[in-house]
Amino acid sequence: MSGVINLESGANISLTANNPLLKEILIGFGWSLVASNAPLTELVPSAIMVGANGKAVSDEHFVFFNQLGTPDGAVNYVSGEDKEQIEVNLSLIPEEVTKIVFVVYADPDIRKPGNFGSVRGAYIRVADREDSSIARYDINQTDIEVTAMVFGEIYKHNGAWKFRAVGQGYSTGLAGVAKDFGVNI
Amino acid sequence: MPINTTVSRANIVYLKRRPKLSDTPVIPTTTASNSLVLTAPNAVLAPEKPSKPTVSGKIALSFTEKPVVRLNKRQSAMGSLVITNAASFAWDTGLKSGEETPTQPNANIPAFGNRKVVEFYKNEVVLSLRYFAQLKRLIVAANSGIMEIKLYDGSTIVVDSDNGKNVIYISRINNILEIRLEKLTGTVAETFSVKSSL
Repeated sequence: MSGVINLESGANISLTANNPLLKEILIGFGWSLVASNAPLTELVPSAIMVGANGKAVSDEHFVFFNQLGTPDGAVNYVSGEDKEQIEVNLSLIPEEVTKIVFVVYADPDIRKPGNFGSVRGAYIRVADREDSSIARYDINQTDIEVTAMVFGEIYKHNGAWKFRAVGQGYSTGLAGVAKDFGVNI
Repeated sequence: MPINTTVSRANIVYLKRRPKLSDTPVIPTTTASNSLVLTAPNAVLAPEKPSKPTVSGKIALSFTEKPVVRLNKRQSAMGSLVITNAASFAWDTGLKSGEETPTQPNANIPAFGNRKVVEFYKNEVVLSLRYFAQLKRLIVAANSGIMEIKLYDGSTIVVDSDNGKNVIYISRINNILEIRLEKLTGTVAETFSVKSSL
């Protein structure tokens, strides 16, 4: 696959329809923070495997830095480039999963938890197993009301996997995300 | 505008390096039923069974019924763990250690993102669970009365200090927190061999 496709919010791209051999994809997250002597926003990328009812398949299907992989082995935190990376093995995704949502939240430390107002240059990118980028979505929102954001999602469409750039912010932070997707945190 | 580009991932202690196709050894994947093969998926993916009581809602620690509980992976790493009515705490990273009281802050406590991993904040002990992996143990003492440990999910653990004779001992077991009721036999430093590092 040649060239990186830059996506706008709401746009999608086919992952496997034109490339059925694509079994493993890499999701890369990046951002910078405005320097400050005050407590900094601690962004945490995560992935939620969601079923047809729009809810997480289980609490163990919420992947973040302290729950590094799903029980089925389909989604895993890995190290590499970017700020953080999550690897998805499409062939291991359970049949009941209709999409995987990639959420970045500000850690809700009670000492000034932070928000996206101090975040610059946030992005999510999709790459193949060799880390060759397929698509990228640059997020330009710097809203101080936003404390969590769905950066993007991969979803099943007509039996093939697609990626969608989302950019939906939450003012209710991690708790709001957990409520929406039915994760017990 | 100055931008902070500090890499924030160094604290993820159990993160695996992502192998590339070129450096991945070929491992047979048909050995799941062979219990002698440690690379078998079943060995890797077997669900963890908690060996200690877990925390949900409001519970109390006691030496007779429930002296220890363990948090799950999400409870162990989201937001702040807040302890009320504490008079002091001792912290230990394995390399550095020390004590703090509300009137005697300890400058040696590691800080990330301009927040100390643990500190007295508005008369409560606040532990940053984002960086809990930096601590090996945390021991919290009260002068008297009840201490409450509050988690981000709303769960609460109640501990009777028995006039300062009981303390809360928090330690890290891999990537979960274990919270234990312990009895003092001297000072916190003497009982748990906590030395103040310079």
